[in-house]
Amino acid sequence: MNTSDSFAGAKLPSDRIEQNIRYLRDLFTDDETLIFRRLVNEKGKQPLRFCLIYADGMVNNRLINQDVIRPVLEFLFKPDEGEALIDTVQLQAMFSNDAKKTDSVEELIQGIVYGDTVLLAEGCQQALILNTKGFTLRSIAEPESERVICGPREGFNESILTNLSLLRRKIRTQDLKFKFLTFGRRTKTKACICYMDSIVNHNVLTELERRLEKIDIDGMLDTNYITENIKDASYSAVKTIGTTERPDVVAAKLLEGRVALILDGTPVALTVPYLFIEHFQADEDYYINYVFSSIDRVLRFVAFMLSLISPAVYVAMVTFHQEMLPTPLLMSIFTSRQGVPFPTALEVTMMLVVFEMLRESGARMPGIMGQTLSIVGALVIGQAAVDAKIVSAPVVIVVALTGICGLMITRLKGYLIIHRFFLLLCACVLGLYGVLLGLLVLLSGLFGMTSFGIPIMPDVYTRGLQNYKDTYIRAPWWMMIKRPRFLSGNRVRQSGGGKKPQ
Amino acid sequence: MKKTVKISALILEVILILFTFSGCWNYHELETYSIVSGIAIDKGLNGYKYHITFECIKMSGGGAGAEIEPLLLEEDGNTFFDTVRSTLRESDKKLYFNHCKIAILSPEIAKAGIKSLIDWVQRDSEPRLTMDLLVSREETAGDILRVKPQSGQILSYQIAGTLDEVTGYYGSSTGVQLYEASDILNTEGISLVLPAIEKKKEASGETVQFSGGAIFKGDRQIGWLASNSNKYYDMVRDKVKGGLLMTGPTPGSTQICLEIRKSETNVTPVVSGQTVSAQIQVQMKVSYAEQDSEKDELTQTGIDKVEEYAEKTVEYGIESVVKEVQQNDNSDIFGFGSHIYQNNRKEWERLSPKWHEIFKTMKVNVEAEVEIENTGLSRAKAGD
Repeated sequence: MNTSDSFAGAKLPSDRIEQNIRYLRDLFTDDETLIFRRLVNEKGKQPLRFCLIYADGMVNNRLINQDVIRPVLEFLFKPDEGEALIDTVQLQAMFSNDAKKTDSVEELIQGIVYGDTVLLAEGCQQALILNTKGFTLRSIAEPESERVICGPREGFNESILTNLSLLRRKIRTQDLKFKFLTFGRRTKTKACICYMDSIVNHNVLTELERRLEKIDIDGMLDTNYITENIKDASYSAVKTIGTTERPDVVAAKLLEGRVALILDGTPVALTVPYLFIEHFQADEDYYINYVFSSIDRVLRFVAFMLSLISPAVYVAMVTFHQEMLPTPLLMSIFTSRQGVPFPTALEVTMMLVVFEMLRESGARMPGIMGQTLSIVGALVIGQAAVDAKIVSAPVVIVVALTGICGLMITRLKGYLIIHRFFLLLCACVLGLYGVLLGLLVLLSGLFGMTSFGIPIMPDVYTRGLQNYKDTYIRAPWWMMIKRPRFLSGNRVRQSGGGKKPQ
Repeated sequence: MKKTVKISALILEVILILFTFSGCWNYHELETYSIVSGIAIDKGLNGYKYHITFECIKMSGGGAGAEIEPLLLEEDGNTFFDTVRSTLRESDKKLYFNHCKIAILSPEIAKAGIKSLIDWVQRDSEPRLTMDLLVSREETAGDILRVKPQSGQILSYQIAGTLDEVTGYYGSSTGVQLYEASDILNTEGISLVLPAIEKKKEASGETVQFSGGAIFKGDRQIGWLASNSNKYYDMVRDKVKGGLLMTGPTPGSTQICLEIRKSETNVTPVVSGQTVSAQIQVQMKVSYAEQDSEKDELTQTGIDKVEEYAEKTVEYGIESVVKEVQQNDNSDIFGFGSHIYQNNRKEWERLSPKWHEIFKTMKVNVEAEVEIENTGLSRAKAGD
């Protein structure tokens, strides 16, 4: 680490204001956003000199003018206050709600670069850090990637304090704890661990803290930097840490006993532990009628399976187990394969790759071109390839089905892409046998995985109906009287609940 | 290190076992095969034992313009498998039997025995045991496959579909799948009846139709069962799924038509010394489907009376089909022997050497119980 970055223990050099100003100016050499505003109060017998130091664009100018400069200039100071001058400013003159006295250079720098204003006074070695943060932020809008039709529309933005306030507004209890941490030797990014003290699984909390302590990285721009540093199953595509941009989702997870981590500078919050079933849960499930949301859940499971295995099963059926196809279907596949030069396995692989390319270009290109892409994709790849006998029509159908189903559960996107190809390979080598063996491999992988000490698929084998009420279906709210055992020690969610309301 | 070796050995073993012992490791593209939909087996020409006509599915074009039509291949050979493989002399595609639904035997082949056909199908991995076996009433079975399909594109599938329908809703022939035929051949005291098929001239050309069954003794065909008798044979075998029952005040009259909804038959053999008789109880639930007479049989004579007519018809029909078979073919197609075998094995062991003679003279006692569940009309007939 570059030592010039560290000012641990360093103090302002002197009680002479000019010396302190020069010291700070030297620290911020070549940083022209820094503004040194000198003030002289001549109300009293002797002129008193002050200096405000702040970064341009980070502060609320109006606030500085009205609540700092005006009182400092207009206050009638007693003569010869000396060291006590700074206290008088803080306690009597200033109109600021957040003013902190310090002489630590480290703190002063941190304040200045984060939109605070430092006030130096003549004859004082101590300085004041005034909270005048006023940088512009993105407004609280609904996250693009997690839209709901019905339910709260708030989303996190890039400011940690805004995000915490959003969370605080949802859970108004002293039981909600916020613990601050700082990551990144250079970025000094603030993060906050949030949990409900009486509900949280403390093993998970300590495990999370233990892993977070080990992180040593110079920059922290998004929560994924943390995720990859603390994740279980580090090489696997399976997510063991949840991400969301919605305060309502974080609040709901906190209420189930999970721990959330919010990082400054990104709207993406992390939640742990993350069970496999959470891939299939959408926040809207809880905001609409439970029957519909249960149907949606089941559809998501079906879509997941279809998206994972349909190319593999198609290849297995068409190239290994023709006897298992109904005769009319066999004839239809046979006729459409006439004249296609590639073997079925290659055909399917090719089309899957093309689909992934289409998907990726759709995600990367400017929005205006979306229309063009879908036309080109549908026409060229679909119609023309079939007409030109490059691929057979059933393959296009299978790949399209795979794609549509995959888009339904975007949170499993990475997992699906990798394992779809894995199963396809198994099918090409061993037919349906291969598909089944491949699935066994995937399943045993999932069963072996944990997220912060909690197995990620406990809902498959734990006993007790309460553990299933929010898995494959979503039970009505009045039935969900307990929290899942594996998430929280304090299990009762509704005492006296569990009866039909009317 | 030792652990790694162990694990790799295990994985290797698993892979070896998978590749060598699983039946479906071979990757093959669909279009390298010629899919067989049905076969017809005749006596071979030029001294060969068999002459087989394969109906293959010829598919051309793709997508919406796809054309599907039958393609007939004919080969001679001394064994079934040899005949099948000898098609490779003229075709670049191997025959694929998984979708073969029917096998038609010429009378000559059926008379010579069908065991070798069943043996080949059972041993080969491709053909299905659910293939339907048929006997041609025409001299050569290949002639049947040369008929132009009437509906659909492939004659064999038309025949297989027709057989399902005729078995379920008409009763003039009864479909027998290969595994059932094999079971019957291996069961004591019962003989096989395969459905019979024949060509039919129509104004628009030729077509095929089912007509009764072919009676076997052992694995050799010895006679024919008429279409009308087949229905009563089904009743004795308790195979009726549906069908019609024509009845009237006098035996053989057809004023009233009943549709069979449910039918259950119990056969109880009665053995006393060397004489055997069989008690056949038929319980039938029918609905009144049609009446073809001037007078309203139902309201004028009453439901009870009509039921009685129907019972008489069933009793008469069963008695006459049993008598007919006893006299003409003397083959226990009804399975009376197997009923004795199942109920009292010792008796059967005593009787079986002479079963041939006992069956010929055994008496049957039929008791039918017909119940009309439904008259089809909710009020009295118009004009009455």
